[in-house]
Amino acid sequence: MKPELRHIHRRIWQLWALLLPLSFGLAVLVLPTKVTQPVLYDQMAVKTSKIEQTQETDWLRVQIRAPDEMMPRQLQIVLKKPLKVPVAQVFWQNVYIGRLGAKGTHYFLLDSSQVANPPYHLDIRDPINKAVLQTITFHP
Amino acid sequence: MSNTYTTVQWNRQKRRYDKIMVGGMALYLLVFSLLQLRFYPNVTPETLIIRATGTLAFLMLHIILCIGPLTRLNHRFMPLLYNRRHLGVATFLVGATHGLFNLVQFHSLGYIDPLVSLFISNTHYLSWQDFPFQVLGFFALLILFLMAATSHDFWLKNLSPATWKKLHMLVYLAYALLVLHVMLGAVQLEQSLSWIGLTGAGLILIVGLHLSAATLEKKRLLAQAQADAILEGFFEICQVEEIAENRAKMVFLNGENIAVFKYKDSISAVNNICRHQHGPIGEGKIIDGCITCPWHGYQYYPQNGQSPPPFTEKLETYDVKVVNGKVWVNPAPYPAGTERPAAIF
Repeated sequence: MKPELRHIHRRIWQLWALLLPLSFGLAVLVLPTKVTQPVLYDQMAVKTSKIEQTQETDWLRVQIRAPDEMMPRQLQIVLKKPLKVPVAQVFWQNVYIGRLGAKGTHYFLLDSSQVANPPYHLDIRDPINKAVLQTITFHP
Repeated sequence: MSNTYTTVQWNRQKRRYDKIMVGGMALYLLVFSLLQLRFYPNVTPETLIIRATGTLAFLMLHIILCIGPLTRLNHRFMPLLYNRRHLGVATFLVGATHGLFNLVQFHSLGYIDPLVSLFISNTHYLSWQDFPFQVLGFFALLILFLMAATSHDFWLKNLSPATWKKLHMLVYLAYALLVLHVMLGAVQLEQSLSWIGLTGAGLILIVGLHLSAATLEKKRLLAQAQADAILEGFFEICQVEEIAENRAKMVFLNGENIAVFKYKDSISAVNNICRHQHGPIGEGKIIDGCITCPWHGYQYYPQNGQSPPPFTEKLETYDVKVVNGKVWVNPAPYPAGTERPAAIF
């Protein structure tokens, strides 16, 4: 490599040494809050018996299941068709609570604070294309 | 491409290199797929391919970027450099597979062209968190394509080595784009500490290696330049900053009385004795582009020691160079009035 190219090369990496860690740090700072609640699939879920509300569209059925002695209140989402997007995020009252995966049933646990202020808004969003795939509102 | 070029000049080493490369890639894909199926049993085949090829291409780019500085730090890594171009082309092919599957899965189900969809489906270009990270991957892939397409000797010869090398230095931009692609894409979606840790470790490794190699090479070149200067009979005089603008530093070297002048980002050296009454030229200053003797105002050009016409006085001149901010002078005098190039700093 010629000295001038070597010089350019050194300058590029000095610049990268500043910019890339900065960008890396900023990307970590804006990470959405980690969802600790696992997505439960049908075969893993322990569903409660009583259904409080049901709403249905052509591609999903959403139910709020009442709590019992064993389990808190549950949000149950049944995907009737495979998703047309690879990633779909579930937002309850504008708070990210988890993701939908393959066709089938998904359960999300709702604690008392999440059902304290009706009406309840459920959004299913495509994070890649920044699109809202479905919005459903539950009135108590 | 003309018939004077062959597609690949195969030999035993290249075949061995490529076998190891392909074997390593296959092993990675196998192990990655098994781990994905173990930890994400519901993963679809398309997603598995996207993840496997994306991580493999990123890993291969890391290996490629490590090879250059490693060989400069230690020549034992030289065999890795031997067939790096094949590794680069393979990286592009794996990256292209990742890109293609992404384009199909994320953008081919709508009514608009998938490539158009890539750019307009997410328009949060001013948001850091929601930035359309796929666009970053697209441009990185475009650079890798450009490099893979021009990797052959035909392009090296016809573009000229300097242009070819400049073009291929775009890989550093591709790397930066891919770091952002991962950090604003997969990491934001998965929020995985493993991905953050691995990408961060890769970043430290790549930047660290390149800076270490560049620093070491700069030191080597400097030591070489200084050794060359000594061999050529030069003496180190002072730092450039020690000489005031339009003024001189006076030195005695090998019996020569020399005035070293600094002016307009240049350094020149002439004999320190004025031809008029042997006044100390070096105590004077440069006025109107001429060294002016402090005693009676006799003037000389710094580059050739000649008095401006119609005067005919002349001073001996000397070779000067600036190495790493230091002024070096060769005390072997040139005949009075000989033009010598000024050292630019």
